Amino acid sequence: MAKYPFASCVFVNCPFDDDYAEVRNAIVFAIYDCGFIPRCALEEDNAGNVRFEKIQNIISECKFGVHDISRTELDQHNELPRFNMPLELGVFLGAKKFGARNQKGKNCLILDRDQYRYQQFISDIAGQDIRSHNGQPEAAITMIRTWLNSASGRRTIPGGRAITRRYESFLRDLPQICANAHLDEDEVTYNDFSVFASDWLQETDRKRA
Amino acid sequence: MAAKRKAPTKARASKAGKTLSTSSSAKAKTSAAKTLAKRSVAVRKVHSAPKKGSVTRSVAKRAVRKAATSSGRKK
Repeated sequence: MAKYPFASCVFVNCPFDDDYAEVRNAIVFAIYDCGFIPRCALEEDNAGNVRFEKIQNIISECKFGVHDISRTELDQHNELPRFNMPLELGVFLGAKKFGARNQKGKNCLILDRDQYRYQQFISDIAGQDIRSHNGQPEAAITMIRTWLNSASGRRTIPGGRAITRRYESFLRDLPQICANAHLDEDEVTYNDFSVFASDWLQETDRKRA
Repeated sequence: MAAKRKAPTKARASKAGKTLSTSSSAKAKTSAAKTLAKRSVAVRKVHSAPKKGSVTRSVAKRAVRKAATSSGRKK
């Protein structure tokens, strides 16, 4: 039995490099604020598990998926394209097509740096929902919110601007949260950020109630 | 004596939303929209993170609570 509700899990397939951290953090926060659970390969630090196997397990536990293929570009050293994210997108789409009954309800949002760039390297995905956030966290938040609102049918999801305002407020509190937890900001891992974001939102809701 | 305003029921809020497009009262429109927005945030549940980070969950919770309290005090 899955530990987390399938219909609330969102697989986050995005670049792990520091340059992308701002957008990735905004996406993770927005998913929590919409009432969903972000799931990412970074949450598993158990080196005993084969990486691809744990990615497949997480994908199978998620109804929704955000796939950012903007880092599909040539590596500077070997001039070969980086294809991890399109590969994971393929696994997600394959699970939707060939998986068990619950997997057929999967729904995904594809993000790229330019809305039509995919046509040059992965044109077969034409017809999917492909959007461009131009590296802007606010745009990513709005896209995530709009997509989850329509894909899940839930009417409990706050508006994009409200999420952005809360995210900005969270970012203002983050240095103090890190100091309270005796962590330097550059030591904050994906899991740390994820815990802080969900706890902060729960605390904000508790105070408001 | 002015009657105390009650929060609308789900059915009433839904009806308000449907009829607002034809309503001429901008005030009523804003008020209903605000009520609906408040309800949506109140109803949605924020889940806990699936995995713990490099600090324990209790340390993280305490750190967040302390920061939220001090930032509330500043305002």
